[in-house]
Amino acid sequence: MRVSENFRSSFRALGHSKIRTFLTMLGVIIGVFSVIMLTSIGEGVKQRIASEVESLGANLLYVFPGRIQMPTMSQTESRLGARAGFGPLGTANGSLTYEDVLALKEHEDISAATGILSGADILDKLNLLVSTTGVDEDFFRIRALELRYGRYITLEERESKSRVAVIGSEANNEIFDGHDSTGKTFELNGVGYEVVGVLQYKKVESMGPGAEDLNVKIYVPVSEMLDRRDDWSVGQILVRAASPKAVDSAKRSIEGILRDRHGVVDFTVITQDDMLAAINRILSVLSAAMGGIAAISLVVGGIGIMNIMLVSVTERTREIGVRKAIGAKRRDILIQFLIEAVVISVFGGILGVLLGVGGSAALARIVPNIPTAISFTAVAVSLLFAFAVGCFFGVYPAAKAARLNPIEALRSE
Amino acid sequence: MVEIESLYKSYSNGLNVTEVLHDVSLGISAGEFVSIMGPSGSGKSTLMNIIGCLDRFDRGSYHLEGLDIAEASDNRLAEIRNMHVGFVFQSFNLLPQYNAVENVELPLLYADETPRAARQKAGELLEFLGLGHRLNHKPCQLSGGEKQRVAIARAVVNSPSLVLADEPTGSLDSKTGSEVLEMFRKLNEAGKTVILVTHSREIAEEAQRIVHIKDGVVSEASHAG
Ligand SMILES: Nc1ncnc2c1ncn2[C@@H]1O[C@H](COP(=O)(O)OP(=O)(O)OP(=O)(O)O)[C@@H](O)[C@H]1O
Ligand SMILES: [Mg+2]
Repeated sequence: MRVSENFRSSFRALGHSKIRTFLTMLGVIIGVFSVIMLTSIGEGVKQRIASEVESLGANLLYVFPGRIQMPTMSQTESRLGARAGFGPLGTANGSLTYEDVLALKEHEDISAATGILSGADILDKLNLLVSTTGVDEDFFRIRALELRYGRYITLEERESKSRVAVIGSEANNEIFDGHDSTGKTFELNGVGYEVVGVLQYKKVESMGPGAEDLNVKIYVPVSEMLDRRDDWSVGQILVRAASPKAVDSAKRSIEGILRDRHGVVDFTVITQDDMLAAINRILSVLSAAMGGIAAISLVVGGIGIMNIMLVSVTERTREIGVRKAIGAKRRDILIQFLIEAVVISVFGGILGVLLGVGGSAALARIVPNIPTAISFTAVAVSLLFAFAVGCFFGVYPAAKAARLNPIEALRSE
Repeated sequence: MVEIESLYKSYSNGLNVTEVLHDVSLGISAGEFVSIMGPSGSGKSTLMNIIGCLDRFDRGSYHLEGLDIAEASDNRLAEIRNMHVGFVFQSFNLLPQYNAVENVELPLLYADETPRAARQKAGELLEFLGLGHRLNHKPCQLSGGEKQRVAIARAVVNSPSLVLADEPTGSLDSKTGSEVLEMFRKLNEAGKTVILVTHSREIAEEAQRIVHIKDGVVSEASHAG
């Protein structure tokens, strides 16, 4: 029999018991739906974080104290369970100093460099311990933070260790009831600081670099903050290369300068690309794992197919006998029943993909904090997997039907 | 056409073995019309199934149109059932989901005919058998006689040289039964070898020759009046 005819008889048989066909399909539909949903969330998170990181600017470099191992491909593959990843960020073990920052500013590949130091100070007005951040004038050139009022911290203020501050909009609301507070002062640890700038309100993202709440920030000159401490070490150095092309040579220059100054490599330079690659790798493993768990329900759907096909073979034993009596070969019967199983699984897979695509779009709309993105790979893999499930679980019942002895099949009632 | 030598067939259900055919030898030549008679349980259906290549046998030899059936593979047997033998059952054995023309075209489709040619040929044959107005009826919408005529159409649509009928009139009243019988006689006149199992002496006597079976032994091959 021609394969097209086999298809026709399979479709007829499936169409004859529509509810049963649909219920059997439902197992596959749900399986593929959950694979698509979960991987689309994983993919969405990946894209959201990537765009957040990219929005910071492509030519950024981060210098951290200590040696941090970035997970490379071979490491994530060979030691998934081991802690290959970021070390404790910003826990200064004193290896980076503000002199390092000043030295980096001199280099031609580097257009801007700032030390970043986090501190904790008593905000006298509210009698609250608040976190403050020490930065220099370059910080505001690297991170394009929008001002609502006033201006940024200047080179002179950093050099003269002035007690000035740029504050976030939420901080401005708390301390000054949201009015233009430039020129006004507030007290930290009993000492007055003059507000020179207030930042524009910025929505806080659910994940990625944008998850940092800039609205509660209190930025003070890093030199002023260092002045209150015993040592001159900074938590982190943020560097902008002269151009995106200069990132690699900037990385080498930073490593060279710091090695010369320290005598040892007790720091790590990470480019935007390194960061993205590491995040991507971790998230890919996560979303593959989620997809894999969802795929288990697809296997359960496959068992449902097998179950129904076995019932169907038993019910249609006489039909199989008739077909064999008029000349159907084993192959014909095998293909007919196999097609039925595969049609169930592939149609279920297509419906599951459609529902998954719709569902993930709906989810992203209803819950904006959960980004979703459909990846072509996830769609292709789950369709292929559904097809494989249909073949795998369909082959046994189909072979059972094909093996039937014609006369015994005809005698069955 | 059919040459059977010392054929044995037994069924076993675990413990006991029932020998159904015992040393059966039978020769039927091309163009003959043969009736098989015998008491119930004597092995008529068993013999017909073997002749129709639906079942295998234990010992002996069977040649159909010179072909050694004992040696043939399952696939080959399927081809023989498709191309060389037409089988008509007492209980019609039409596929209930398929209408008349779809039932009749099935053997053509299994013979790899194009769907279009198969549909046309099946339709023409049913037309010829006076069922032109029943092409799109499902078996449940047909009378017993009509069902059996559809089944006969299905048996002969691939132009087999041998037509087997196991009590084809068993489920029909005598009038429709004789109409069906008339069809077999026409088929025989058209050159086909016909073998027909029946309990009715009257029907058996339509044939040129009657073969009697009792307890799995072909006891007598007499020429009918
Ligand atoms: N599958 C089977 N397993 C065991 N015994 C069987 C099987 N098929 C048939 N028999 C036995 O073989 C014997 C012959 O059966 P068969 O159907 O050939 O008889 P028959 O002559 O056609 O009878 P009837 O006129 O009632 O149709 C019977 O005794 C029956 O019980
Ligand atoms: Mg019988």
